[in-house]
Amino acid sequence: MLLYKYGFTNINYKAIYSFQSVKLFILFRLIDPIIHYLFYAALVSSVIGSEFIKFVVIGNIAFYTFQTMSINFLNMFRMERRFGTLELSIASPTSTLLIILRKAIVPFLDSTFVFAAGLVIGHFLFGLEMPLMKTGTLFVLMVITLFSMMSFSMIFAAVSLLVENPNLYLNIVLAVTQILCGANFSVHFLPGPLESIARMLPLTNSIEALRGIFGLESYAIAPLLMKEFSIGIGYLLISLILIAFMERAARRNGALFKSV
Amino acid sequence: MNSVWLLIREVKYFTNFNNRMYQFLLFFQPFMFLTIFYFLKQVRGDIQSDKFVVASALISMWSYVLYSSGSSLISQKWSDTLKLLIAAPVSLFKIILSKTISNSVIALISMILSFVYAKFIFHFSIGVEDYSLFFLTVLVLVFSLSVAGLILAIVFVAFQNAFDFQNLILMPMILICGVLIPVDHLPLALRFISYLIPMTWSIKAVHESLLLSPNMYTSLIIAVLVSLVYLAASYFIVKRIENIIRQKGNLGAI
Repeated sequence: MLLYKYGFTNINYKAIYSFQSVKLFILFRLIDPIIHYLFYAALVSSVIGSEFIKFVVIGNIAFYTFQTMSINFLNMFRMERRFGTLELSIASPTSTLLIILRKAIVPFLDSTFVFAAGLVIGHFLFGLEMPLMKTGTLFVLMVITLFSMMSFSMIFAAVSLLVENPNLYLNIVLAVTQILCGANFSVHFLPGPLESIARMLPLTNSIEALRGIFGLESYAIAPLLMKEFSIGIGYLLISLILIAFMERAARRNGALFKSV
Repeated sequence: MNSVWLLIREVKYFTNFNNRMYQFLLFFQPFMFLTIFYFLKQVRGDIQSDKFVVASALISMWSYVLYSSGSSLISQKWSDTLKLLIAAPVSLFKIILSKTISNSVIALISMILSFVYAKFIFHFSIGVEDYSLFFLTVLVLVFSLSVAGLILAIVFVAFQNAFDFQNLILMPMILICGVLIPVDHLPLALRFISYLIPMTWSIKAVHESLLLSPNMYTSLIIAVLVSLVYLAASYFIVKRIENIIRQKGNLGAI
């Protein structure tokens, strides 16, 4: 009855989502991103000049969205583990994947807000011209990007169950992603092998497509979106295999990662 | 002598490889920022790298001081050892000060590592003309960071959920204190706030020492004076906190 009335996703949101007041939401979903964009805009303009500010702000809007998504997923798994409900989710007759996907609605909506708000902030603070003629493409990009980020975050959060210090793991993954995904500089500057790795990450192609849509770089947008979508599908398949493996191991051992 | 032992133990604790988060701030963060600088340099090759090697070091130092000194008092509260500190024959102010000084000294590891990474991995030119003057400004910077850490320790223990707001303080302070953009380029109101922060003056002195600017000594003197004012204010606030705890037997509103 309770599930029917409020919904599984809503209950999950109430249980483990951090920002449940308007004040906290404004602070962490509007003020914090503004500070983040200002910081990297200042960093890049002090190093190579203010003409690169839009280029960097666009990259960081995508990166900050990824950061929001991955932190949300990691926290979801971490809180579930802390409160002992992760085992219950696995033991329940409902498919684990379905449970995770229902829970994923919160990070997905949250990240959608961060992405859209980022573009508005970019427009008013940094003069990013909204490409009204390309609104449809921008919408497709947003959906594809969030999908690939979500698929990647599912793997990322599942692996976090294996590590001793999830905070350290989170910071390292975010730092490496920030360097490799081209948020602050074009991935063309990376050495060959690193660029290849960067091309397999969920953000790289989206950031280039986004810069293409906003006219900051001349890229063919459709192939980039196709690549991003394929990457998202690839990560989703890996995460499905990982979740199935986790589920089977947990049922066989009667516990999730006993050594952790 | 006790203070020296406390300092040594703090250094051993925070550089212990069990403290993984602190290892990230000390060892990995300067590398990350230098990597960003390295690739930005590929975009425009004619930039002076020494300023950004120092900026990378300052960002990491400030991050470390914010997280370690900020949590120095509240972590005692969480681990229930704050009452032992209150009952100890040493004043609470001395204990916090020794912790914040040790944290600032440890933060120097980030600066040293930034120079090592910059020189041997990224092959940046580091244009420190006069190392003795540079070292002098870094010493004053350590003092300013210690005072800032002291204030953070007090602020964090006075507000509930202060940890949630750590990230909101981190980047604005870097922006306001002139690490990346000179304070004179900020809007007037921000400039005013900036000059009230003790690190602003010492960071200014560090940058000026790279250029061998004669203004460096003025900045150094102001940095010391401003830091001393905050040190005195912190002393009275910590004394007051100590008195409240002793009188009421609990932390009250804190």
